[in-house]
Amino acid sequence: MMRKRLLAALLALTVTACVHAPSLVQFANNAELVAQSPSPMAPLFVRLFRLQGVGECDGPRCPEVSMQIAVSESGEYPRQALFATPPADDWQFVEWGQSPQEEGDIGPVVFTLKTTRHGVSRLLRFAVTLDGLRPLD
Amino acid sequence: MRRHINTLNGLITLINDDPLAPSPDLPVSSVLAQMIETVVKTTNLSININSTTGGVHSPRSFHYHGQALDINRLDGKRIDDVSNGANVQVFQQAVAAHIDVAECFGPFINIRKRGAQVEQRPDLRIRHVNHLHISSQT
Repeated sequence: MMRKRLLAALLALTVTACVHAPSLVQFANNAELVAQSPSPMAPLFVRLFRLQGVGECDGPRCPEVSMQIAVSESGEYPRQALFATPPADDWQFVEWGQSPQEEGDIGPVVFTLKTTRHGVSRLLRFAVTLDGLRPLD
Repeated sequence: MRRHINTLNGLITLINDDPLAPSPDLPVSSVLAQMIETVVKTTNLSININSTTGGVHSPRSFHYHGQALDINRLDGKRIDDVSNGANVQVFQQAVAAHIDVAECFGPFINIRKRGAQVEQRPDLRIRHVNHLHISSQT
């Protein structure tokens, strides 16, 4: 009985590892750095990676794209985080925005992306901190 | 603005602990230079700076922007010399109290400051028993 439980637990761990491994493999192979904070010494440093799924267009259906947003403090042991937009037909970086500086705190980094879904494009503004990514519009 | 650290008539030395590596006597942030000179004058403790903008650090380290330095000797002794504990503690207290400090890591104090916010990082002590890492906010 104990042996079966142990085997089940090992199998679960193996499956979990397999499920998680492709995302890093995909990121390392396919992510494209499209923008990074203009000031390397800003309190929050942001890098934007466009990540397209593998495969090719099949008629109107194409591999989906997400924008991966890496955020880091400055320093020797910075807190760091990674967020992603929902998948869409396309995501493009447009521009950095003005970050409201909050007293005594690190203000969010603001930027605008263009997303395309079913042939319709629109601009979306986002604010990112170490705690999360939120749309502003 | 960057400048060289004033050696204060020998109270501050800049010698790399790796004799084959380049000298750490390089221009750093004037705020960092001023801060470290002030602390040395206040405590009257001599220091050796063994890293400024060179060496290998975190990708987002202040070192690469001239805003951080490492100290491996204080009052002529190693930082991890037990007989030097009181001096190291006094020096760290003076750094941590300075208005411009961003990071102060070592055997006794491990803090990060962003503006007026202070974050305690006791988990970093284990990585700084034999040297002090000090950085400035600008």
